[in-house]
Amino acid sequence: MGGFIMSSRRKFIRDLVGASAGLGMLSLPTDLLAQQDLVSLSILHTNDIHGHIDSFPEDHSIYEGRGGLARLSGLIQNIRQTEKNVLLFDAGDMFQGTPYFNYYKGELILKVMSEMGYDAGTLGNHEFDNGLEGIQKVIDFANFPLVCSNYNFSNTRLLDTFPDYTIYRKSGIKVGVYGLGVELEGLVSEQNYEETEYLDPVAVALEKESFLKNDKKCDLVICLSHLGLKFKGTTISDTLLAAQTHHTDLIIGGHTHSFLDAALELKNADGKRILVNQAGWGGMVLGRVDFIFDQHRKEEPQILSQNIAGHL
Amino acid sequence: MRYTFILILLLIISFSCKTTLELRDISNENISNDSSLSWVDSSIVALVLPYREALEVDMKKVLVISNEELAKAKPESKLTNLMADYLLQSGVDYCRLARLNIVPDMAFMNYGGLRVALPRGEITVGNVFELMPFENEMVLLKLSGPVMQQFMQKVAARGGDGVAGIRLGIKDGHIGQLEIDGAPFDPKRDYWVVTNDYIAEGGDSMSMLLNHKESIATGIKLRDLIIERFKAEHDAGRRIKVVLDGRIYYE
Repeated sequence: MGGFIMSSRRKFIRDLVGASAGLGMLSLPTDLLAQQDLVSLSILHTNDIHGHIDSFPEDHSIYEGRGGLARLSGLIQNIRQTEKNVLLFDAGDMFQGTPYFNYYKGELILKVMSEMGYDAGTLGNHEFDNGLEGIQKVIDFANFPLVCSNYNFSNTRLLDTFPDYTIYRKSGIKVGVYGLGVELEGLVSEQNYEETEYLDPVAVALEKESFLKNDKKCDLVICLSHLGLKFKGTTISDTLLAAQTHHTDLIIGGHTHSFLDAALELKNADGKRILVNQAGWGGMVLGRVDFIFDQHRKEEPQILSQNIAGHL
Repeated sequence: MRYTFILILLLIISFSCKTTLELRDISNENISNDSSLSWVDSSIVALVLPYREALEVDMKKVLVISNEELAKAKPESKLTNLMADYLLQSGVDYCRLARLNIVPDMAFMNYGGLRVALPRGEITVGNVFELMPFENEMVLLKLSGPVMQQFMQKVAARGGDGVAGIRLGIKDGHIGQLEIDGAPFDPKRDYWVVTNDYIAEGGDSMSMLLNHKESIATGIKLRDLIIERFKAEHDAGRRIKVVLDGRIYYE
Protein backbone atom coordinates (compact mmCIF):
# COMPACT_ATOMS: atom_id res chain seq x y z
CA MET A 1 0.00 0.00 0.00
CA GLY A 2 2.83 2.33 0.83
CA GLY A 3 4.33 1.55 -2.54
CA PHE A 4 1.08 2.40 -4.18
CA ILE A 5 0.96 5.77 -2.54
CA MET A 6 4.51 6.51 -3.57
CA SER A 7 3.97 5.62 -7.20
CA SER A 8 0.64 7.34 -7.24
CA ARG A 9 2.04 10.65 -6.17
CA ARG A 10 4.07 11.05 -9.33
CA LYS A 11 1.04 10.22 -11.38
CA PHE A 12 -1.10 12.79 -9.59
CA ILE A 13 1.28 15.54 -10.40
CA ARG A 14 1.11 14.58 -14.04
CA ASP A 15 -2.67 14.35 -13.91
CA LEU A 16 -3.00 17.66 -12.19
CA VAL A 17 -0.98 19.30 -14.93
CA GLY A 18 -3.09 17.57 -17.56
CA ALA A 19 -6.23 18.74 -15.84
CA SER A 20 -5.72 22.30 -16.93
CA ALA A 21 -7.11 21.41 -20.36
CA GLY A 22 -10.47 20.47 -18.91
CA LEU A 23 -11.17 22.35 -15.76
CA GLY A 24 -8.91 25.33 -15.65
CA MET A 25 -5.43 25.71 -14.31
CA LEU A 26 -4.90 24.05 -11.00
CA SER A 27 -2.99 25.86 -8.35
CA LEU A 28 -2.40 23.46 -5.53
CA PRO A 29 0.40 24.60 -3.28
CA THR A 30 3.48 22.45 -3.88
CA ASP A 31 3.68 21.47 -0.22
CA LEU A 32 0.31 19.74 -0.55
CA LEU A 33 1.45 17.81 -3.61
CA ALA A 34 4.51 16.75 -1.69
CA GLN A 35 2.34 14.99 0.84
CA GLN A 36 1.92 11.29 0.26
CA ASP A 37 -1.76 11.16 0.98
CA LEU A 38 -3.46 11.80 -2.33
CA VAL A 39 -5.43 9.03 -3.99
CA SER A 40 -7.13 9.31 -7.36
CA LEU A 41 -10.04 7.56 -9.01
CA SER A 42 -10.53 7.61 -12.78
CA ILE A 43 -14.11 7.48 -13.95
CA LEU A 44 -14.27 6.43 -17.61
CA HIS A 45 -17.54 6.56 -19.46
CA THR A 46 -19.41 6.07 -22.73
CA ASN A 47 -22.99 6.50 -23.90
CA ASP A 48 -25.13 5.71 -26.94
CA ILE A 49 -22.76 3.08 -28.27
CA HIS A 50 -25.57 1.87 -30.57
CA GLY A 51 -23.85 -1.37 -31.46
CA HIS A 52 -20.70 0.30 -32.78
CA ILE A 53 -18.09 -2.33 -32.05
CA ASP A 54 -16.19 -1.53 -35.25
CA SER A 55 -14.92 1.92 -36.10
CA PHE A 56 -16.61 3.87 -38.85
CA PRO A 57 -14.90 3.20 -42.20
CA GLU A 58 -12.03 5.48 -43.13
CA ASP A 59 -14.01 6.69 -46.13
CA HIS A 60 -17.10 7.58 -44.08
CA SER A 61 -18.30 11.01 -45.13
CA ILE A 62 -18.85 12.35 -41.60
CA TYR A 63 -17.21 10.10 -38.99
CA GLU A 64 -14.20 8.86 -40.94
CA GLY A 65 -12.34 6.20 -38.98
CA ARG A 66 -13.86 7.26 -35.64
CA GLY A 67 -15.54 5.33 -32.84
CA GLY A 68 -15.98 1.64 -32.16
CA LEU A 69 -15.50 -0.39 -28.99
CA ALA A 70 -12.62 -2.57 -30.26
CA ARG A 71 -10.27 0.39 -30.32
CA LEU A 72 -11.92 2.12 -27.36
CA SER A 73 -11.17 -1.00 -25.33
CA GLY A 74 -7.50 -0.64 -26.27
CA LEU A 75 -7.56 2.94 -25.02
CA ILE A 76 -9.18 1.86 -21.76
CA GLN A 77 -6.62 -0.91 -21.26
CA ASN A 78 -3.93 1.67 -21.76
CA ILE A 79 -5.41 3.81 -18.99
CA ARG A 80 -5.83 0.80 -16.72
CA GLN A 81 -2.10 0.13 -17.03
CA THR A 82 -1.26 3.46 -15.46
CA GLU A 83 -4.22 3.99 -13.12
CA LYS A 84 -4.87 1.76 -10.15
CA ASN A 85 -8.40 2.94 -9.53
CA VAL A 86 -10.65 2.88 -12.57
CA LEU A 87 -14.40 2.59 -12.91
CA LEU A 88 -16.00 2.20 -16.34
CA PHE A 89 -19.62 3.21 -16.89
CA ASP A 90 -22.11 3.52 -19.73
CA ALA A 91 -25.19 5.74 -19.86
CA GLY A 92 -27.45 3.68 -22.10
CA ASP A 93 -28.48 3.00 -25.71
CA MET A 94 -25.97 0.22 -26.14
CA PHE A 95 -28.48 -1.42 -28.50
CA GLN A 96 -29.57 -0.58 -32.04
CA GLY A 97 -27.64 0.99 -34.87
CA THR A 98 -25.59 -1.71 -36.57
CA PRO A 99 -26.47 -5.14 -38.04
CA TYR A 100 -24.75 -6.65 -34.99
CA PHE A 101 -27.85 -5.67 -33.06
CA ASN A 102 -30.32 -6.63 -35.76
CA TYR A 103 -28.77 -10.09 -35.91
CA TYR A 104 -27.62 -10.79 -32.38
CA LYS A 105 -30.20 -8.77 -30.41
CA GLY A 106 -27.86 -7.34 -27.83
CA GLU A 107 -25.99 -10.56 -27.12
CA LEU A 108 -22.79 -9.46 -28.84
CA ILE A 109 -22.67 -5.90 -27.56
CA LEU A 110 -23.21 -7.09 -23.97
CA LYS A 111 -20.50 -9.73 -24.36
CA VAL A 112 -18.09 -7.13 -25.71
CA MET A 113 -18.88 -4.67 -22.92
CA SER A 114 -18.46 -7.45 -20.35
CA GLU A 115 -15.07 -8.31 -21.81
CA MET A 116 -14.11 -4.64 -21.61
CA GLY A 117 -14.79 -4.68 -17.89
CA TYR A 118 -17.69 -2.26 -17.58
CA ASP A 119 -18.63 -1.76 -13.94
CA ALA A 120 -22.19 -0.62 -14.67
CA GLY A 121 -24.52 0.68 -17.34
CA THR A 122 -28.07 1.97 -17.37
CA LEU A 123 -31.12 1.54 -19.61
CA GLY A 124 -31.55 3.78 -22.64
CA ASN A 125 -34.77 3.91 -24.64
CA HIS A 126 -33.28 1.74 -27.41
CA GLU A 127 -32.68 -1.06 -24.95
CA PHE A 128 -36.46 -1.56 -25.28
CA ASP A 129 -36.39 -1.96 -29.08
CA ASN A 130 -37.12 -5.68 -28.91
CA GLY A 131 -39.48 -5.27 -25.97
CA LEU A 132 -39.08 -6.40 -22.37
CA GLU A 133 -38.75 -9.95 -23.64
CA GLY A 134 -35.89 -8.81 -25.85
CA ILE A 135 -34.08 -7.45 -22.79
CA GLN A 136 -34.81 -10.55 -20.75
CA LYS A 137 -33.39 -12.84 -23.45
CA VAL A 138 -29.98 -11.15 -23.56
CA ILE A 139 -29.47 -9.60 -20.13
CA ASP A 140 -27.50 -12.58 -18.83
CA PHE A 141 -24.79 -11.85 -21.39
CA ALA A 142 -23.88 -8.79 -19.32
CA ASN A 143 -21.60 -9.52 -16.40
CA PHE A 144 -22.13 -5.96 -15.13
CA PRO A 145 -25.29 -4.47 -13.61
CA LEU A 146 -27.60 -2.08 -15.41
CA VAL A 147 -28.44 0.39 -12.67
CA CYS A 148 -31.94 1.73 -12.98
CA SER A 149 -33.61 3.79 -10.25
CA ASN A 150 -36.67 5.36 -11.88
CA TYR A 151 -38.31 2.56 -13.84
CA ASN A 152 -40.60 0.36 -11.79
CA PHE A 153 -40.66 -3.09 -13.35
CA SER A 154 -42.78 -4.66 -10.56
CA ASN A 155 -45.62 -5.60 -12.90
CA THR A 156 -43.36 -6.92 -15.64
CA ARG A 157 -41.17 -9.90 -16.44
CA LEU A 158 -38.12 -7.76 -15.58
CA LEU A 159 -39.00 -7.58 -11.90
CA ASP A 160 -35.80 -7.72 -9.79
CA THR A 161 -33.55 -7.59 -12.85
CA PHE A 162 -31.94 -4.19 -12.33
CA PRO A 163 -30.45 -2.79 -9.10
CA ASP A 164 -31.59 0.73 -8.18
CA TYR A 165 -28.12 1.60 -6.92
CA THR A 166 -24.65 0.09 -6.74
CA ILE A 167 -21.67 0.83 -4.52
CA TYR A 168 -17.99 0.39 -5.38
CA ARG A 169 -14.89 0.61 -3.19
CA LYS A 170 -11.58 1.61 -4.72
CA SER A 171 -8.58 2.11 -2.41
CA GLY A 172 -10.85 3.27 0.36
CA ILE A 173 -12.96 5.53 -1.88
CA LYS A 174 -16.61 4.59 -1.65
CA VAL A 175 -18.57 5.36 -4.81
CA GLY A 176 -22.37 5.23 -5.02
CA VAL A 177 -24.12 5.01 -8.38
CA TYR A 178 -27.75 5.45 -9.33
CA GLY A 179 -29.34 5.39 -12.79
CA LEU A 180 -32.04 7.45 -14.49
CA GLY A 181 -33.96 6.54 -17.64
CA VAL A 182 -35.87 8.82 -19.97
CA GLU A 183 -39.69 8.89 -20.14
CA LEU A 184 -40.68 5.99 -22.35
CA GLU A 185 -44.14 7.17 -23.38
CA GLY A 186 -43.97 8.71 -26.84
CA LEU A 187 -40.42 7.46 -27.36
CA VAL A 188 -40.88 3.70 -27.18
CA SER A 189 -43.83 1.67 -28.46
CA GLU A 190 -46.10 0.89 -25.54
CA GLN A 191 -46.06 -2.80 -26.43
CA ASN A 192 -42.28 -2.69 -25.92
CA TYR A 193 -42.37 -1.36 -22.34
CA GLU A 194 -45.72 -2.82 -21.27
CA GLU A 195 -46.40 -1.94 -17.63
CA THR A 196 -43.03 -0.42 -16.86
CA GLU A 197 -43.73 2.57 -14.64
CA TYR A 198 -41.71 5.74 -15.18
CA LEU A 199 -40.96 7.55 -11.92
CA ASP A 200 -40.10 11.24 -11.68
CA PRO A 201 -36.32 11.34 -12.18
CA VAL A 202 -35.80 14.39 -9.95
CA ALA A 203 -37.62 12.90 -6.97
CA VAL A 204 -35.79 9.60 -7.44
CA ALA A 205 -32.42 11.34 -7.82
CA LEU A 206 -32.89 13.32 -4.59
CA GLU A 207 -33.85 10.19 -2.71
CA LYS A 208 -30.99 8.08 -4.08
CA GLU A 209 -28.26 10.66 -3.68
CA SER A 210 -29.27 11.31 -0.09
CA PHE A 211 -29.38 7.59 0.63
CA LEU A 212 -25.96 7.00 -0.95
CA LYS A 213 -24.35 10.03 0.70
CA ASN A 214 -25.97 10.09 4.14
CA ASP A 215 -26.95 6.49 4.82
CA LYS A 216 -24.25 4.65 2.89
CA LYS A 217 -21.58 7.30 3.53
CA CYS A 218 -20.30 7.30 -0.05
CA ASP A 219 -17.42 9.63 -0.84
CA LEU A 220 -18.65 10.11 -4.39
CA VAL A 221 -22.13 9.95 -5.84
CA ILE A 222 -22.49 9.39 -9.58
CA CYS A 223 -25.64 9.42 -11.68
CA LEU A 224 -25.84 7.43 -14.92
CA SER A 225 -28.49 9.26 -16.88
CA HIS A 226 -30.22 8.68 -20.17
CA LEU A 227 -32.35 11.81 -19.79
CA GLY A 228 -30.41 13.93 -22.30
CA LEU A 229 -28.09 16.89 -21.78
CA LYS A 230 -30.42 19.80 -22.37
CA PHE A 231 -33.68 20.60 -24.11
CA LYS A 232 -35.66 23.66 -25.03
CA GLY A 233 -38.38 24.26 -22.49
CA THR A 234 -38.87 22.45 -19.24
CA THR A 235 -38.33 18.81 -20.24
CA ILE A 236 -36.13 17.29 -17.56
CA SER A 237 -32.50 16.95 -18.60
CA ASP A 238 -29.12 16.48 -16.97
CA THR A 239 -28.55 20.24 -16.74
CA LEU A 240 -31.96 20.86 -15.14
CA LEU A 241 -31.49 17.89 -12.81
CA ALA A 242 -28.01 19.00 -11.76
CA ALA A 243 -29.33 22.31 -10.43
CA GLN A 244 -31.76 20.49 -8.13
CA THR A 245 -29.38 17.98 -6.57
CA HIS A 246 -27.47 18.22 -3.27
CA HIS A 247 -25.06 15.29 -3.15
CA THR A 248 -24.42 14.14 -6.72
CA ASP A 249 -20.86 14.85 -7.85
CA LEU A 250 -21.08 13.77 -11.47
CA ILE A 251 -23.86 13.11 -13.95
CA ILE A 252 -22.74 10.84 -16.78
CA GLY A 253 -25.27 11.51 -19.50
CA GLY A 254 -26.48 10.15 -22.81
CA HIS A 255 -29.43 10.18 -25.21
CA THR A 256 -28.67 13.52 -26.93
CA HIS A 257 -25.42 12.25 -28.50
CA SER A 258 -23.68 15.38 -27.23
CA PHE A 259 -20.02 15.95 -27.96
CA LEU A 260 -18.54 18.14 -25.22
CA ASP A 261 -15.03 19.60 -25.30
CA ALA A 262 -15.10 19.35 -21.51
CA ALA A 263 -17.51 18.35 -18.78
CA LEU A 264 -19.95 21.10 -17.84
CA GLU A 265 -19.34 22.59 -14.41
CA LEU A 266 -22.69 23.53 -12.93
CA LYS A 267 -24.00 24.58 -9.53
CA ASN A 268 -26.23 22.28 -7.54
CA ALA A 269 -29.10 23.32 -5.27
CA ASP A 270 -26.59 24.35 -2.59
CA GLY A 271 -24.43 26.33 -5.00
CA LYS A 272 -21.77 23.63 -4.99
CA ARG A 273 -20.01 22.28 -8.04
CA ILE A 274 -21.53 19.37 -9.97
CA LEU A 275 -20.12 18.02 -13.22
CA VAL A 276 -22.22 16.92 -16.18
CA ASN A 277 -20.49 15.08 -18.98
CA GLN A 278 -21.40 13.20 -22.13
CA ALA A 279 -19.25 11.34 -24.68
CA GLY A 280 -20.83 11.76 -28.12
CA TRP A 281 -22.03 8.37 -29.38
CA GLY A 282 -20.83 5.25 -31.18
CA GLY A 283 -17.77 5.01 -28.94
CA MET A 284 -16.34 8.10 -30.63
CA VAL A 285 -15.36 9.65 -27.31
CA LEU A 286 -14.19 8.26 -23.98
CA GLY A 287 -15.20 10.55 -21.17
CA ARG A 288 -12.66 10.66 -18.37
CA VAL A 289 -13.12 12.37 -15.03
CA ASP A 290 -10.48 11.91 -12.35
CA PHE A 291 -11.34 12.61 -8.74
CA ILE A 292 -8.40 13.27 -6.48
CA PHE A 293 -8.91 12.72 -2.78
CA ASP A 294 -6.82 13.67 0.19
CA GLN A 295 -6.76 10.88 2.78
CA HIS A 296 -4.97 12.94 5.40
CA ARG A 297 -6.81 14.26 8.44
CA LYS A 298 -7.05 18.01 8.12
CA GLU A 299 -7.14 20.50 10.98
CA GLU A 300 -9.43 22.88 9.22
CA PRO A 301 -11.19 21.02 6.42
CA GLN A 302 -13.72 23.77 5.79
CA ILE A 303 -11.06 26.31 4.96
CA LEU A 304 -9.48 23.84 2.60
CA SER A 305 -12.71 23.12 0.82
CA GLN A 306 -13.29 26.85 0.33
CA ASN A 307 -9.92 26.97 -1.31
CA ILE A 308 -10.90 24.33 -3.81
CA ALA A 309 -14.17 25.99 -4.65
CA GLY A 310 -12.23 29.16 -5.33
CA HIS A 311 -10.12 27.86 -8.14
CA LEU A 312 -12.48 25.49 -9.84
CA MET B 1 5.67 -10.02 13.91
CA ARG B 2 6.68 -7.71 11.13
CA TYR B 3 3.65 -8.74 9.07
CA THR B 4 1.39 -8.07 12.03
CA PHE B 5 2.82 -4.60 12.22
CA ILE B 6 2.16 -4.01 8.53
CA LEU B 7 -1.34 -5.40 8.91
CA ILE B 8 -2.08 -3.02 11.76
CA LEU B 9 -0.63 -0.18 9.75
CA LEU B 10 -2.86 -1.10 6.81
CA LEU B 11 -5.88 -1.17 9.06
CA ILE B 12 -5.05 2.23 10.40
CA ILE B 13 -4.55 3.62 6.91
CA SER B 14 -7.76 2.15 5.55
CA PHE B 15 -9.65 3.35 8.60
CA SER B 16 -8.30 6.80 8.17
CA CYS B 17 -9.20 6.69 4.46
CA LYS B 18 -12.82 6.16 5.29
CA THR B 19 -13.09 8.82 7.87
CA THR B 20 -11.08 11.63 6.38
CA LEU B 21 -11.34 11.34 2.61
CA GLU B 22 -11.62 14.79 1.22
CA LEU B 23 -12.18 15.64 -2.42
CA ARG B 24 -9.27 17.82 -3.41
CA ASP B 25 -9.63 18.12 -7.12
CA ILE B 26 -11.11 16.92 -10.34
CA SER B 27 -9.58 16.67 -13.75
CA ASN B 28 -11.42 15.91 -16.95
CA GLU B 29 -10.53 14.96 -20.47
CA ASN B 30 -12.89 13.83 -23.21
CA ILE B 31 -10.68 11.64 -25.35
CA SER B 32 -11.44 11.29 -29.06
CA ASN B 33 -11.44 7.69 -30.30
CA ASP B 34 -10.11 8.25 -33.82
CA SER B 35 -7.55 6.85 -36.25
CA SER B 36 -4.70 8.47 -34.34
CA LEU B 37 -5.10 5.74 -31.70
CA SER B 38 -3.60 2.36 -32.48
CA TRP B 39 -4.73 0.35 -29.49
CA VAL B 40 -7.25 -2.08 -30.94
CA ASP B 41 -8.01 -4.69 -28.29
CA SER B 42 -7.25 -8.04 -29.94
CA SER B 43 -9.39 -9.95 -27.43
CA ILE B 44 -12.43 -7.92 -28.53
CA VAL B 45 -11.58 -8.48 -32.19
CA ALA B 46 -11.29 -12.23 -31.53
CA LEU B 47 -14.58 -12.26 -29.63
CA VAL B 48 -16.41 -10.50 -32.45
CA LEU B 49 -14.83 -12.39 -35.36
CA PRO B 50 -17.16 -15.43 -35.56
CA TYR B 51 -20.21 -13.18 -35.22
CA ARG B 52 -18.90 -10.85 -37.91
CA GLU B 53 -18.17 -13.69 -40.31
CA ALA B 54 -21.59 -15.27 -39.89
CA LEU B 55 -23.22 -11.91 -40.34
CA GLU B 56 -21.22 -11.05 -43.44
CA VAL B 57 -22.19 -14.34 -45.08
CA ASP B 58 -25.83 -13.53 -44.43
CA MET B 59 -25.55 -9.90 -45.46
CA LYS B 60 -24.11 -10.89 -48.82
CA LYS B 61 -27.07 -13.10 -49.67
CA VAL B 62 -28.72 -11.86 -52.86
CA LEU B 63 -32.47 -11.33 -52.57
CA VAL B 64 -33.37 -10.15 -56.04
CA ILE B 65 -31.96 -8.47 -59.13
CA SER B 66 -32.96 -4.90 -59.90
CA ASN B 67 -32.91 -3.54 -63.42
CA GLU B 68 -32.12 -0.08 -62.14
CA GLU B 69 -30.89 1.88 -59.16
CA LEU B 70 -33.76 2.87 -56.87
CA ALA B 71 -33.28 6.26 -55.26
CA LYS B 72 -35.62 8.56 -53.39
CA ALA B 73 -36.83 11.93 -54.64
CA LYS B 74 -39.84 14.21 -54.31
CA PRO B 75 -42.68 14.43 -55.12
CA GLU B 76 -42.42 10.71 -55.96
CA SER B 77 -39.62 8.31 -56.76
CA LYS B 78 -39.02 4.71 -57.68
CA LEU B 79 -37.77 3.91 -54.19
CA THR B 80 -40.52 5.62 -52.19
CA ASN B 81 -43.24 4.26 -54.49
CA LEU B 82 -41.97 0.67 -54.35
CA MET B 83 -41.55 0.66 -50.58
CA ALA B 84 -45.02 2.13 -50.07
CA ASP B 85 -46.49 -0.39 -52.52
CA TYR B 86 -44.89 -3.26 -50.61
CA LEU B 87 -46.17 -1.83 -47.35
CA LEU B 88 -49.71 -1.57 -48.72
CA GLN B 89 -49.62 -5.12 -50.12
CA SER B 90 -48.30 -6.43 -46.82
CA GLY B 91 -51.02 -4.56 -44.93
CA VAL B 92 -53.71 -6.01 -47.20
CA ASP B 93 -52.25 -9.51 -46.82
CA TYR B 94 -52.03 -9.14 -43.06
CA CYS B 95 -55.70 -8.15 -42.77
CA ARG B 96 -56.76 -11.03 -44.98
CA LEU B 97 -54.69 -13.61 -43.08
CA ALA B 98 -55.81 -12.25 -39.71
CA ARG B 99 -59.43 -12.19 -40.96
CA LEU B 100 -59.81 -8.61 -39.86
CA ASN B 101 -62.46 -7.62 -42.40
CA ILE B 102 -60.40 -4.55 -43.21
CA VAL B 103 -59.03 -3.55 -46.59
CA PRO B 104 -56.39 -0.85 -46.12
CA ASP B 105 -56.89 2.14 -48.43
CA MET B 106 -53.40 3.53 -48.54
CA ALA B 107 -49.86 3.20 -47.22
CA PHE B 108 -47.41 5.79 -46.00
CA MET B 109 -43.65 5.14 -45.91
CA ASN B 110 -41.86 8.15 -44.53
CA TYR B 111 -39.27 9.63 -46.86
CA GLY B 112 -36.74 10.14 -44.04
CA GLY B 113 -37.00 6.50 -42.98
CA LEU B 114 -35.37 5.31 -46.21
CA ARG B 115 -31.69 5.83 -45.48
CA VAL B 116 -29.92 4.90 -48.73
CA ALA B 117 -30.61 4.08 -52.39
CA LEU B 118 -30.85 0.46 -53.53
CA PRO B 119 -28.30 -0.48 -56.21
CA ARG B 120 -28.82 -1.64 -59.78
CA GLY B 121 -28.10 -5.36 -60.06
CA GLU B 122 -27.99 -7.58 -56.98
CA ILE B 123 -29.92 -6.36 -53.96
CA THR B 124 -28.55 -8.08 -50.85
CA VAL B 125 -29.81 -8.50 -47.30
CA GLY B 126 -27.12 -5.97 -46.33
CA ASN B 127 -28.60 -3.40 -48.73
CA VAL B 128 -31.99 -3.71 -47.04
CA PHE B 129 -30.40 -3.31 -43.60
CA GLU B 130 -28.71 -0.13 -44.80
CA LEU B 131 -32.01 1.04 -46.27
CA MET B 132 -33.88 0.40 -42.99
CA PRO B 133 -31.50 0.18 -40.05
CA PHE B 134 -34.20 0.62 -37.43
CA GLU B 135 -36.62 -1.86 -35.95
CA ASN B 136 -39.84 -0.20 -37.11
CA GLU B 137 -42.94 -2.34 -37.31
CA MET B 138 -46.02 -2.22 -39.50
CA VAL B 139 -49.05 -0.57 -37.92
CA LEU B 140 -52.60 -0.13 -39.24
CA LEU B 141 -54.47 3.06 -38.39
CA LYS B 142 -58.11 3.96 -38.88
CA LEU B 143 -58.41 7.68 -39.55
CA SER B 144 -61.48 9.91 -39.78
CA GLY B 145 -61.86 12.00 -42.95
CA PRO B 146 -60.71 15.25 -41.31
CA VAL B 147 -57.59 13.61 -39.79
CA MET B 148 -56.85 12.00 -43.16
CA GLN B 149 -57.07 15.47 -44.69
CA GLN B 150 -54.60 16.91 -42.16
CA PHE B 151 -52.30 13.97 -42.85
CA MET B 152 -52.40 14.53 -46.62
CA GLN B 153 -51.97 18.27 -46.12
CA LYS B 154 -48.69 17.53 -44.34
CA VAL B 155 -47.56 15.35 -47.25
CA ALA B 156 -48.48 18.16 -49.67
CA ALA B 157 -46.69 20.79 -47.59
CA ARG B 158 -43.54 18.68 -47.71
CA GLY B 159 -43.72 18.36 -51.47
CA GLY B 160 -44.24 14.61 -51.49
CA ASP B 161 -43.47 11.44 -49.58
CA GLY B 162 -43.68 7.66 -49.86
CA VAL B 163 -47.32 6.78 -50.57
CA ALA B 164 -49.36 4.03 -52.15
CA GLY B 165 -53.08 3.81 -52.90
CA ILE B 166 -53.57 7.53 -53.51
CA ARG B 167 -53.18 10.16 -56.21
CA LEU B 168 -52.29 13.55 -54.82
CA GLY B 169 -51.90 16.78 -56.74
CA ILE B 170 -49.96 19.42 -54.85
CA LYS B 171 -50.81 23.05 -55.50
CA ASP B 172 -48.55 25.62 -53.81
CA GLY B 173 -47.90 23.32 -50.89
CA HIS B 174 -51.58 22.44 -50.44
CA ILE B 175 -53.83 19.55 -51.43
CA GLY B 176 -55.14 19.97 -54.98
CA GLN B 177 -56.73 16.87 -56.49
CA LEU B 178 -56.87 13.94 -54.09
CA GLU B 179 -58.04 10.43 -54.86
CA ILE B 180 -57.86 7.59 -52.39
CA ASP B 181 -58.30 4.00 -53.45
CA GLY B 182 -59.54 5.15 -56.86
CA ALA B 183 -62.27 7.47 -55.60
CA PRO B 184 -62.26 11.20 -54.78
CA PHE B 185 -61.38 11.94 -51.18
CA ASP B 186 -64.49 11.90 -49.00
CA PRO B 187 -64.11 13.79 -45.71
CA LYS B 188 -67.19 12.03 -44.32
CA ARG B 189 -65.75 8.51 -44.39
CA ASP B 190 -62.98 6.75 -42.49
CA TYR B 191 -59.78 5.44 -44.05
CA TRP B 192 -57.41 2.63 -43.10
CA VAL B 193 -53.73 3.53 -43.44
CA VAL B 194 -50.73 1.19 -43.33
CA THR B 195 -47.60 2.78 -41.90
CA ASN B 196 -44.94 2.12 -39.26
CA ASP B 197 -45.03 2.49 -35.49
CA TYR B 198 -42.80 5.57 -35.53
CA ILE B 199 -45.21 7.48 -37.77
CA ALA B 200 -48.29 6.04 -36.04
CA GLU B 201 -47.05 7.48 -32.76
CA GLY B 202 -46.82 10.94 -34.27
CA GLY B 203 -43.16 10.86 -35.28
CA ASP B 204 -41.82 12.94 -38.17
CA SER B 205 -44.26 15.74 -37.21
CA MET B 206 -47.28 13.56 -37.93
CA SER B 207 -48.87 14.31 -34.57
CA MET B 208 -52.35 14.36 -36.16
CA LEU B 209 -52.08 10.56 -36.37
CA LEU B 210 -52.36 10.37 -32.59
CA ASN B 211 -56.03 11.22 -33.20
CA HIS B 212 -56.66 7.89 -34.91
CA LYS B 213 -59.89 6.00 -34.35
CA GLU B 214 -58.25 2.58 -34.14
CA SER B 215 -54.73 1.23 -34.19
CA ILE B 216 -53.52 -2.30 -34.89
CA ALA B 217 -49.91 -3.25 -34.11
CA THR B 218 -48.84 -6.12 -36.35
CA GLY B 219 -45.46 -6.81 -34.76
CA ILE B 220 -44.01 -7.31 -38.26
CA LYS B 221 -40.76 -5.49 -38.90
CA LEU B 222 -40.77 -3.36 -42.04
CA ARG B 223 -37.34 -4.63 -42.97
CA ASP B 224 -38.53 -8.24 -42.77
CA LEU B 225 -41.52 -7.63 -44.95
CA ILE B 226 -39.39 -5.87 -47.58
CA ILE B 227 -36.95 -8.79 -47.56
CA GLU B 228 -39.86 -11.22 -47.98
CA ARG B 229 -41.29 -9.19 -50.90
CA PHE B 230 -37.93 -9.14 -52.67
CA LYS B 231 -37.52 -12.89 -52.17
CA ALA B 232 -41.03 -13.49 -53.52
CA GLU B 233 -40.26 -11.42 -56.63
CA HIS B 234 -37.10 -13.41 -57.22
CA ASP B 235 -38.85 -16.74 -56.63
CA ALA B 236 -41.49 -15.72 -59.17
CA GLY B 237 -38.70 -15.20 -61.71
CA ARG B 238 -39.11 -11.42 -61.75
CA ARG B 239 -36.63 -8.58 -61.54
CA ILE B 240 -37.28 -5.28 -59.85
CA LYS B 241 -38.52 -2.69 -62.31
CA VAL B 242 -40.45 0.38 -61.23
CA VAL B 243 -42.43 2.71 -63.46
CA LEU B 244 -43.27 6.10 -62.03
CA ASP B 245 -47.03 6.51 -62.16
CA GLY B 246 -47.50 10.12 -61.10
CA ARG B 247 -49.18 9.24 -57.79
CA ILE B 248 -47.93 12.54 -56.39
CA TYR B 249 -47.53 15.45 -58.78
CA TYR B 250 -47.33 19.22 -58.78
CA GLU B 251 -50.41 20.84 -60.27
